[in-house]
Amino acid sequence: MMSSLLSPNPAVNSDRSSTRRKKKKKIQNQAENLENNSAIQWKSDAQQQIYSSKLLYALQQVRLSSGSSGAQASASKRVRDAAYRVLAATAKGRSRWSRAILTNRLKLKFMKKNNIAKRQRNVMTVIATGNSRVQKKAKVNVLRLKSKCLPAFQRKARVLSRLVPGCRKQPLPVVLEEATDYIAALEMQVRAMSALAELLSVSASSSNGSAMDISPS
Amino acid sequence: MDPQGAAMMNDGGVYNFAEIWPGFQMNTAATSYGLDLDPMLMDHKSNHSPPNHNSRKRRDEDECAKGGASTSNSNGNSSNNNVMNEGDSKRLKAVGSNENRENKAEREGNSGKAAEPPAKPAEPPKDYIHVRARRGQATDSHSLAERARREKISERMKMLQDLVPGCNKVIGKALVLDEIINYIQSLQRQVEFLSMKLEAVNARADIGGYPSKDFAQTTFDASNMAFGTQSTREYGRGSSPEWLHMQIGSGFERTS
Repeated sequence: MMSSLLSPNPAVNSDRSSTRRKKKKKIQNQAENLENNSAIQWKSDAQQQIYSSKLLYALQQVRLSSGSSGAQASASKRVRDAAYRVLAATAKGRSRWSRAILTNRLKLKFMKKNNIAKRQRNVMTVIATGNSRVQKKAKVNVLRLKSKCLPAFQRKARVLSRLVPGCRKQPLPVVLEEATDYIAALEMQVRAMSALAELLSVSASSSNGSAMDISPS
Repeated sequence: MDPQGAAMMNDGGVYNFAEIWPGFQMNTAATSYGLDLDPMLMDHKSNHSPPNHNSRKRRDEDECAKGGASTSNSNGNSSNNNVMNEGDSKRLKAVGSNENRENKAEREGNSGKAAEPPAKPAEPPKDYIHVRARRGQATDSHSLAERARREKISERMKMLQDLVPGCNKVIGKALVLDEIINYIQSLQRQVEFLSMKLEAVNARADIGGYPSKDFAQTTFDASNMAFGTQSTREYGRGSSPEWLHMQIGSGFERTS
């Protein structure tokens, strides 16, 4: 009687533990499959083709939007941003770095709005007080001081997390996983962009040459 | 129930189930839930537990809390067991169990009288040596989690080593990370350079030079369906795929 009351129910516990194990196994298998697929995905011909066609369209849009205005540096920056955005769109937001690139544009817009508001406030304070100089607090960079104390491996891990977009505050295993996908994507991007640049330059020169041949006669 | 037995209970004597029911067995679940119904049975059972450091430590603490006559014996035995070798400890354990049985018999004889308070509480053993778990036998949840984390990191480092060229020759995690950082930076610089190159080509080319918007849109939409089943293959640096010629070449032909 007493033993039956006091003994815990083993059947229920075993069922729960087994379901948890199954769930964990499923999650692990899914993660492994995703990793393997991502590695294969960026090396595929199809993926490069998709990226190239999207990039071509993005370049056309950049050219149409920029027109004649804008300096050389800003134009190249615009092309680079477009290339990264297209790469993130090709990744379909499955990884952190792609989501970070896609959301970065919105963040920049938000920052611009904030900066404009701050400037307006500063102007108002200058008008009110009459002092043209606005006092600023001297910022001591604590991160630099801390980074000197860190061991070499952790310091390099932090540098790597800054290089991969959207991984600044992530733990090392996540950073490494994202870095593998990001490297594969960058390699594909370089291949596609170099092929596209070659073709565009060749076709542009050939069209210019043919125009030159025809025009004098 | 006779009045003598009732008087015994009222006096506050130790009431033992073993006297009433000779075949009474203590349930192990009762001890796990903290129901220490009979201290003698508990002592007797604890002596036959497997020789585990943690269980021994727990037993010492329990017996110190009870402070009986048998506890001092078992404490002495457990402290000796830590110092001596395994064979001696087994021998001592057998002796200790015999002594405990004798003490139990004495207590059963004197169970009618009121229990005497112990002369002095037994102190916990000072010469207790904490033995570290052997290599590969750390079963603590924290150590298991840490081991899993380390395995995950090493696995991903291997994957990165396969991706990054010339990284297999490097020994040490810090140097491998250095190589990875350099490679990512070089790729980013390449992208920057190529974007400048594309921008220059983009500036030179006329707007009519590009394929029409409709054409670009169709390639953009149909890309997922049309090229889904192609086999994977590596590219050389200089090779330019034929499909790209087909896409761009038509746009740049001169229309007179």
